Amino acid sequence: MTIRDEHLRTALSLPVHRRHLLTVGFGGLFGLNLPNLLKADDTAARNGLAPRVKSVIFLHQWGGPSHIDTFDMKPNAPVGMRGDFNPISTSLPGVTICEHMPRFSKVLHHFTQIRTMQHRIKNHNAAGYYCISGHAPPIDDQRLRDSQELFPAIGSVVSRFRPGSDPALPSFVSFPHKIADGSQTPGQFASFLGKSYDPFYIGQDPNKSDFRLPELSLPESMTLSRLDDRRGLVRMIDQQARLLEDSAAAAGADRFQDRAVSMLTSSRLKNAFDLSQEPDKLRDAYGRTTYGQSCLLARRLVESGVRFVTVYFSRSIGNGGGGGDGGWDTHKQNFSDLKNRLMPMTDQTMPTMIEDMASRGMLQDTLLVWTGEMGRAPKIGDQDPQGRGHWPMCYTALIAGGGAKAGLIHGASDRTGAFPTTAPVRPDDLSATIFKSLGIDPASEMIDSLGRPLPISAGRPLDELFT
Amino acid sequence: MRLSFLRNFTSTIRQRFCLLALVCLMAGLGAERADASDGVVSFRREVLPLLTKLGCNSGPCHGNLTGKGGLRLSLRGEDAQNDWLTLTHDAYGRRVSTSVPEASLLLAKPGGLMPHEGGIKFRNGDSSFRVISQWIVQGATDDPNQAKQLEQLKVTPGQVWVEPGNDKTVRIQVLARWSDGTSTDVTHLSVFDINETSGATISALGEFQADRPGEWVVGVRYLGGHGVSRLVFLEDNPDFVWKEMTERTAFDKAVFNKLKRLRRLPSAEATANVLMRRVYLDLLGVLPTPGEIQAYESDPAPEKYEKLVERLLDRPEFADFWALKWADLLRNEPKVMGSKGNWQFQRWLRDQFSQDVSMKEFARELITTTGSTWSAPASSFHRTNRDPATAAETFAQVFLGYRFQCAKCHNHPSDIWTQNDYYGLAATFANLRRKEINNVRRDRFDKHEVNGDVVVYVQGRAQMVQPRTGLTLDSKPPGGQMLKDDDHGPNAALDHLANWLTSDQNRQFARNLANRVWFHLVGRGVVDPVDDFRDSNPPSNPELLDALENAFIEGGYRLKPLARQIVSSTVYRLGAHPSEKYPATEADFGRSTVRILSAEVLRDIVDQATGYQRPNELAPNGQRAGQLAAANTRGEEFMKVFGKPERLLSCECERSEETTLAQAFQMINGQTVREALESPGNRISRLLEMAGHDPEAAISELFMSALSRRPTTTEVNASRAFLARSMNQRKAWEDLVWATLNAKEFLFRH
Repeated sequence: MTIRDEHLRTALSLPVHRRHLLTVGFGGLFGLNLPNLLKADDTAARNGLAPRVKSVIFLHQWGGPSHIDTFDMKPNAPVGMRGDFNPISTSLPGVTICEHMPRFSKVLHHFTQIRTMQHRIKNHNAAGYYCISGHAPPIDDQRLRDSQELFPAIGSVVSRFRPGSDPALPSFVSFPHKIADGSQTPGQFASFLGKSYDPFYIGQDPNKSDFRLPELSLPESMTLSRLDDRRGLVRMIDQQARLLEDSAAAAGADRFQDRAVSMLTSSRLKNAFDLSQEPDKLRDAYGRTTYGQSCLLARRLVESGVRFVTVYFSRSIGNGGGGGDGGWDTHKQNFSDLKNRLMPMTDQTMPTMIEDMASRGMLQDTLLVWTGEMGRAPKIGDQDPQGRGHWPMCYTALIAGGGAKAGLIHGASDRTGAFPTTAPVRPDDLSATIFKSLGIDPASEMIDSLGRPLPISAGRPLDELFT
Repeated sequence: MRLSFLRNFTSTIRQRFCLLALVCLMAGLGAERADASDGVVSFRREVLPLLTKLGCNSGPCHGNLTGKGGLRLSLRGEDAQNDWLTLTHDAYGRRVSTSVPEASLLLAKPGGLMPHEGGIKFRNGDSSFRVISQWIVQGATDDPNQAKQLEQLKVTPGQVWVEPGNDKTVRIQVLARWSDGTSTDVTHLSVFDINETSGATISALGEFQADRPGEWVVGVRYLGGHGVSRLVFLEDNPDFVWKEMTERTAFDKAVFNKLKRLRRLPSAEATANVLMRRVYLDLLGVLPTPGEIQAYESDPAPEKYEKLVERLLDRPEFADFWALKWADLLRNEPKVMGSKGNWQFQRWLRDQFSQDVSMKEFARELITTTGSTWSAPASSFHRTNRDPATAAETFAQVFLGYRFQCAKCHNHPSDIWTQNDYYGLAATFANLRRKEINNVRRDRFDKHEVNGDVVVYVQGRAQMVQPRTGLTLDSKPPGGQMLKDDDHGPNAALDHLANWLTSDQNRQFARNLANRVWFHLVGRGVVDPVDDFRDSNPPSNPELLDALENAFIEGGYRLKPLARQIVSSTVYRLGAHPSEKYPATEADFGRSTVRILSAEVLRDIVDQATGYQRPNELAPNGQRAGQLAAANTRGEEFMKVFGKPERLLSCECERSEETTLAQAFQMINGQTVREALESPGNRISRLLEMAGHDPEAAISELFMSALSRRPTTTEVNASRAFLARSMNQRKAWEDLVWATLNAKEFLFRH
């Protein structure tokens, strides 16, 4: 009988407090009153959606960074898996990092690591879409086509549900690339939400001395007074036709015209994009790379009030081991590429960025996310004997700020870094976490072009990562 | 074994209960049972619909593919038997306890007695609580073989006009008529959807409450049955007097009849110049030239507008413009069609509209043509729709105005379409094969790229497996007869579908196309969105839709006769400026719709107004943007920003009609506009020359070419003053032209 009871309890998985509740609950039936206990429970659930942060910086490492050679090293894995690099100790007791990120080792305590990111999509465009939209692609297709049938970028959903408070600033800014693997990766724009929620996209290199925004730069022939004259003439003509009073659409277009002119003439937005206002020393510390200066720009934009900033590491996935530009797709020469290019860049920029943000107190109200669309295969040898193949089954993502438990390592991978040994975290969960941090209920619905209600995220917010 | 667990569990529970509470509760249940009309609660007819009504089995909740909180139900109760098993047998029977009904999770969780992520759905004493608890008390049985099937859902009132001063509350009643001849009131089990939730609410028991005058449609669903109730709460317009309007067409009669009932007044007719500009933009997508305007202005004939319409319908731009609209819908896009395929298909479409073929023939050709897409371009329909499911969705959306997509994975929630309808239609296209000739991909990993010719052919029998039931379905048009068993020739399924679609009995084909033509010319469908015909989205003016359908049929299913009749109507000629008193809205068609022009039209009229010829790479052989075959924007940001669709969906909604900040930037400072303004050979050189001896004529020429009207005195004076104080006349004229291009009158169809 005891065995039976025991069995019963597990089978019913009725925790004690729940039974208690049941009793209390039925007691309440007499007065047809809701037990206070439940009421409290309910309020708590709603309060959970108070925003934790004002802004999000989403750093996307295009190509799929090797988790095994960076944050989740496996020195005890067999030869042929563990790789060339050695782990070194970090500011977190007992936690190691790759020897080629010595600066990072000193700031690791700022970050929360998710070691159990997992999905099953093996192609970059499809996996990249999953990562930046938070929705699983319909097919695992190397050239997944963007259309309104796919989901919008996380940032677009944010600008729909929690736009920035300053109308002179865009809610969602992305730069310095549109990512592509052959064809453009879906999920970077607003899809069915509509063009109003597209990111303010900047395809310029912030590391170049002539970095400027074409939209916000008038040609020399167009002085501000000339623009003013022009606007005056439009007003005069518009008054003749009375279309503005007759139509909300026309009046709306007029307001956009006003806003565009004020953006062109005001200095606020231009200042936010003006990296020359940063001390040279700090710019050097971020790294004089497209990525380094982009991260600095992200910080400036968030400071000025932009809600969501996405920085793409590179335009293309990889460089075939040839050095130069490109992403993290190290099918060839994984080790030399990581050691000579990818890790030095990361080790230059990320520690500077986190310390810069921390010293400015920005980590209280900003969530920083660092992730790629997949990890790399434990087994060494892919397109050349030194390469690692695609591996979405287990990889590491980092978050910091916004009340995330700094220094926490969430979950663990197995002894070769191949699979999570604890509950896996899907990109859906990461997007749900981002939404919740911004005070958006991940179960909120958006309407697609066919009028169907769709949840903004199918994931579960990782509340356990936050204090 | 299971039962003993259950007993054990309930006994545990029982010990913890106040005995009195139990006694009272049971007494309460007993009393409710006595109230019920026919005594026995049906799982399928009451409990399951109730769960649907409460939203328990909706997508975000337990109807989700993965369920919620460990409970997974079929979406909106599609799979009754499984749901019954899930509720009564799974989770060790905790969800439903017949011996201690009140311990059932099915009552305790939504009843607010246990924590429930989905919140409290009912309370003790609610009718919902009564239904579920009675069902449990009675043994929680399923009733799969019940003789009763739902035959009809009767919603009362079907339509009601509530006079001002009356209570703004209407009680909606839903009666289910069963196959055994009996009827039951199922109001408390039905789901109510209001088409526009602002200003109105409806209770679970069908009590509709409006906060303001207005018009609402309440969609009602119960057990796969649908119905609507249309409710109009009239405004208090005591001194309303109808202003007599010329009724030129049946459309006018329909629109004015409704306005009279609503006691709203239409706008006055637009001025000749506004109307002329409008009809050029709507029929051809171009502007009238200053010369054409002058000729029209000085034409003394009373029916000069009708004559103008005749001339426009015969112009080649008409075919270009309507081919463009259909190329969007039929997804003539470069990746799958290849550049030659693009041009061939565009050419074919253009020919159809230029010859004004019957849309019956047009549809039949598209559906039944097989062979090479280069030599028989109508077969391109089967090239762009590369799998049976996509072909079915496109077919339903384009030719019938139905959105079938929902029914791919589950029965349509707000329509009659089931998964069987979906896969029955898809089966029609299931035996189509495509042979790619000389497909040299620029990117070998890109399976979507097909750039040579494609030969479409038919092989085998048109059949498809319905994934949920696993049954193989033969070809069947939605709402039509299944293809006969002995008729399985090679093209039998396609022919059968085309015959069904274009038969005179199929009213939906004509209704859908007539509605689309009205949408393109007037700016809003009578059914809106145009491809969302369903019971719960009825036409805003049924009489008007009937009139359109009749006109289309009488015109031999041809585009031009219907277009002629629409643009000749009084309704089409109304101005955008609302009536001073009791103004009608755009949705009533009582005033002209103001909407932003499409990307192609806008770029073309920027060029036309400025007299600019785009370089060859953007305008091969001098073609306008509206004439180009492909969907790609050739790197022109302008086109993308103004919403040129990529032609990946068969939905009019893919063409964005939003106004955005990016558009303002394009018009203010974008390359497309700047090039047109600053090009040395454009109209501005001519205007400068004219202005040398007659500045007023130059200003007039500018306004005529950009805004299709003469400038007002204010505009002439302001322009002259501006020119007079400018140092650089060329720049000053650029500024003036820029101002006309950025005027809302220019950017919007009005």
